[in-house]
Amino acid sequence: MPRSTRQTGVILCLVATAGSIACSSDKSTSPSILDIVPGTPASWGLVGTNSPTYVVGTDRATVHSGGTALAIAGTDTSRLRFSGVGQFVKADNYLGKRVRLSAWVRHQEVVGSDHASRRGSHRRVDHEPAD
Amino acid sequence: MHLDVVPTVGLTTNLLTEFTDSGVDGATETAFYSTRSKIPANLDFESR
Repeated sequence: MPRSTRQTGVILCLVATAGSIACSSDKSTSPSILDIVPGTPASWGLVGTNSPTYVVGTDRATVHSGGTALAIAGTDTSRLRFSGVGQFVKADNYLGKRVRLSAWVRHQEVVGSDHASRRGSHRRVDHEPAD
Repeated sequence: MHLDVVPTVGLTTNLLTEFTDSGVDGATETAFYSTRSKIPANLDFESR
């Protein structure tokens, strides 16, 4: 990759596609769509498709170690839509450094096995192109 | 969820081999991020 670009921002996301429930949890009980309180937590925002086929919110019943988990449930089988929660962070503190995003992610009843059926966390780095 | 600075040794999990054009011009992207925080917030997912 060219080194003449400048990092401008980092996006942290928990996303899901194609009929799944995903939450940041490793609890042994199964996550349920009934436990999801729709809406994004403070400092987080909706990313991807704002579609009625997805519910994005928080779950206080199935959590890892804290009191709340991010949660996504959907019945959408389209390859063209995904939904999740994320936040955008200025990259100043991470310029020239390697960063690691780590999270507990639990999923249930994910349909399909190809790239269109995914759930998990990811980080994206945006660059300002060199002109 | 954690975002940590780690040593620049060993393998990475980066799946991309080259930059992908987001379709957004650099000035717009820079302006967008200029109002954002320098540190992640609320990684323990407390609700509003």
